[in-house]
Amino acid sequence: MALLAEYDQTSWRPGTLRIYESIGSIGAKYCYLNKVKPKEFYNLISEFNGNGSYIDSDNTFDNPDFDFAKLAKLFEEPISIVSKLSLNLINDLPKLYKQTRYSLWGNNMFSYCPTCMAAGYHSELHQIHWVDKCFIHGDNLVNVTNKEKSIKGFRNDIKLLKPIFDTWFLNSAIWESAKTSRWSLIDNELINTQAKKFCSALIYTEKKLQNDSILFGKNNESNLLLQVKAKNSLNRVFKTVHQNKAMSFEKPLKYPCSAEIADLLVKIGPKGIGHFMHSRQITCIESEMPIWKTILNDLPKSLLKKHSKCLKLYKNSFESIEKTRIRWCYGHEYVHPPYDMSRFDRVPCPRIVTLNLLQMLLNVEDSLIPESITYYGKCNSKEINYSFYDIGSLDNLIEAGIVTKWIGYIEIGTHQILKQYTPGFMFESEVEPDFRYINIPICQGILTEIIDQLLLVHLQTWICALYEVEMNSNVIDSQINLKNHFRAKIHELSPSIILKKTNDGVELLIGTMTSKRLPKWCNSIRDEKGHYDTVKKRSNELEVTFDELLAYRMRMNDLFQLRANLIRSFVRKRS
Amino acid sequence: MPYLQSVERTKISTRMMAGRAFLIKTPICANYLKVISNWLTTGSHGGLVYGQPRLGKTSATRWALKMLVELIGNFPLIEVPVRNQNIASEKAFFQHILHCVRHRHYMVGSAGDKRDALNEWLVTRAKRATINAAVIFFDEAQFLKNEHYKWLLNISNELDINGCRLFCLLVGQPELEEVKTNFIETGKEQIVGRFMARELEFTGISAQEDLISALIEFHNTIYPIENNILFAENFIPQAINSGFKLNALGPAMWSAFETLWIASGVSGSVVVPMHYFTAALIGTLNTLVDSDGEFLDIQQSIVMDAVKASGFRESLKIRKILEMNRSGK
Repeated sequence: MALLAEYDQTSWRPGTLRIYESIGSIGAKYCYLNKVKPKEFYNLISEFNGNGSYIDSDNTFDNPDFDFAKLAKLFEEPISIVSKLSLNLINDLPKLYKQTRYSLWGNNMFSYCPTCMAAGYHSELHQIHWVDKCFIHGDNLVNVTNKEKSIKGFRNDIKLLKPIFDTWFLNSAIWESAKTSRWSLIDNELINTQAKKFCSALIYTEKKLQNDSILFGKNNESNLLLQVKAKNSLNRVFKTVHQNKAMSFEKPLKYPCSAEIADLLVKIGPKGIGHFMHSRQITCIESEMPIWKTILNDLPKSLLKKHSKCLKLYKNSFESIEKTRIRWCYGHEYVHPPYDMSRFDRVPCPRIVTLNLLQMLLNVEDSLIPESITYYGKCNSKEINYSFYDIGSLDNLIEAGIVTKWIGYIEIGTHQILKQYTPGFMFESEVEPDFRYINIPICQGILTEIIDQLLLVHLQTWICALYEVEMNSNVIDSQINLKNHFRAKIHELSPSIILKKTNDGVELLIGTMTSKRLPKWCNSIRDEKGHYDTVKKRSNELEVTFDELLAYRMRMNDLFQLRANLIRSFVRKRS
Repeated sequence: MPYLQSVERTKISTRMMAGRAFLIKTPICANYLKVISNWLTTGSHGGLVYGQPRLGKTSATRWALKMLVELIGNFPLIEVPVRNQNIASEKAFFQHILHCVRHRHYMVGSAGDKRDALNEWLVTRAKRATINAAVIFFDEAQFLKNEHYKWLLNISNELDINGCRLFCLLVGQPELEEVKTNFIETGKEQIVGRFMARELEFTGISAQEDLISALIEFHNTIYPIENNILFAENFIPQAINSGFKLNALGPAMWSAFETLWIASGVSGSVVVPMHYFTAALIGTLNTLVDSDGEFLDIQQSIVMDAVKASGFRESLKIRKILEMNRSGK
């Protein structure tokens, strides 16, 4: 502080600070004007930070101890502008946070609006992870990998300084007036107007939120959008900036019931709903056959249509290679089989990979449950017996007739088409039994209807995610981990659901990111014979590659053994 | 309490002599202000102000520049006490100016970085000034070397490009005039034309009326401001409250300076540098502390002793020697 009092002069162009400007943007300009390295700016900011008692935010200026008055004095900027660098206005929205996990955390990329950058402006609002369009211009934000490392003692937003500096001052094409003595900048009034609309939608939603509804969904951004929509505060600006703008909102589904039951249903909470979704899947009997169950049962058949030969080819290839591995590779270094299910480009037919991915959603261990249940860790069928302890008013639910106890055996792994084609499977003894004895509460009556609806919506999402992954040529050609990609896709497309009380019961408001119509899997292949020939050819190529690799590994292993023996005999002779 | 008052008086005296207590307007200052105002408002890029040591050039310049703000509005001003350097270094030069600005990053970067940072600082502020100019006041400017002027020329040009002006006020010893002559002789007209086209020879108090005028200013000054008393009240409160005015010391003081001047044999008419005048006044007031009363009896000998103690006589001796050296005797 003493330093600032003594040497309180810096170069800044008064009147050039913009509201909600990011610290990276200010820092880049500061470093340019003062001809200093970022370190000097960090030191300056640390003097304004005070005790640094941050609230949950990624934004330096959201620190309640930040000395805006001092910054205003140093830069000779009006305090009205300087104090609007903070997003505090929309940072502390507790109800919204609680219900949707709403947050202003920035993404790890450097996200910018080209139009804003051309006008010498970058905002913290461009960095928010659920925003993908400029809140001022509506332009798509450009995302660039930010390779800068975090700086100890500072929030992550300070990492933006270098990329912004490079964009403006090492490249004169972006902001033409960057290196001139007079900057042409975006109008503060325009920013203010647009930001106000954006913030007011959130603040309005926060005010309207009540405790008589529960919201669940894996994607916090979708949850936020649905919550805003449900409160009729979805203005144009918010809809534009939000990345999940493609969300379709269905008409609320009404479930008439008494006020007492409605109360009980709402009180179950997301975690309880998750448990009942889980139990419903494993205990649903054939005679009931809800829509989701029919779709689920038909899915493997749909996927195998026109691809049964591909699967057979894969089966033969796998078995012959496994035999080779068992015979020749025993005691040798592990050799990866030619088909690699974690990558499309290592499997001759993408559908085989899709079938493999399908297992992820057909396994009871990884079923159609909201993320909340996985707080316990991986929820498997052993744990399901115990996970119901947490549902608060279970007795009341049983008494009201919407929940009952179920005791019996469940069959697991029935849909695991490719399980036996997993490398190493042939060596394994029976790790898990096919049946399990469980004693769990299950839904019934109106709760079953609600749960069936939720399972249907989730299943649609999962199937669409499967389809999108297989149809995405960029993914097929890349070497990314498919399971992770598939999980990310499911997360992205995850629906958001609000269950709330009404005058005559409860209603479900569902926001989906996918079409209601299920994809037609057969359409992806026109020439069945041509496809099979291609698959066969590729399969042969992979097998040849595998043979070569295997031979190489074995030769190397033998050479290694030979070398080891030579050394051993040499050492023995010497001694 | 008397001890405390004595300590307080010593503090005031010391601050006065260091030129840090307050600035007063003298007829010379008034003229100086008029001249600088004229230079600044007629588009000049600089001016020379030179004079003998201890005349009070620095204080007068500070006063004039302070007053100038009230006359022509706010403008960026940097006071740079020039250091004598054997080898002129661009980095050191700009660093020193940034240091004088109290720039936070004066230590950081290359010579080019410092120049750019200074440019930015000047341009940003000059643009907002009513005269569209920035003023750098170089004290002891006779120490500036050729290179320094070239670098100033660069800065000046960059300000010109940005639609504003750099005004360099070069204040120093009479050698400054020689520097100008040298530049003219060696063909560096660009520097002379830019920064030395205007010049002013600064003098001390050269008439009894001017001395009395300065005494009136001293008398009317309230110092320290927080005490809300006249400056002289710190020394002779009873006399001041009874109506005594400092200008009453004028004739005796002028006579004492004149006597010493004539006795020293220095040529020309009497010129009293501000430093010796202030020292003599402080000396006189300190002597009168003990005899403070309703009716103050000021003897000529008290004033003469104070003038002698001011160092004026010694300065005249040096001046005489310099005169003799110049004339080759």
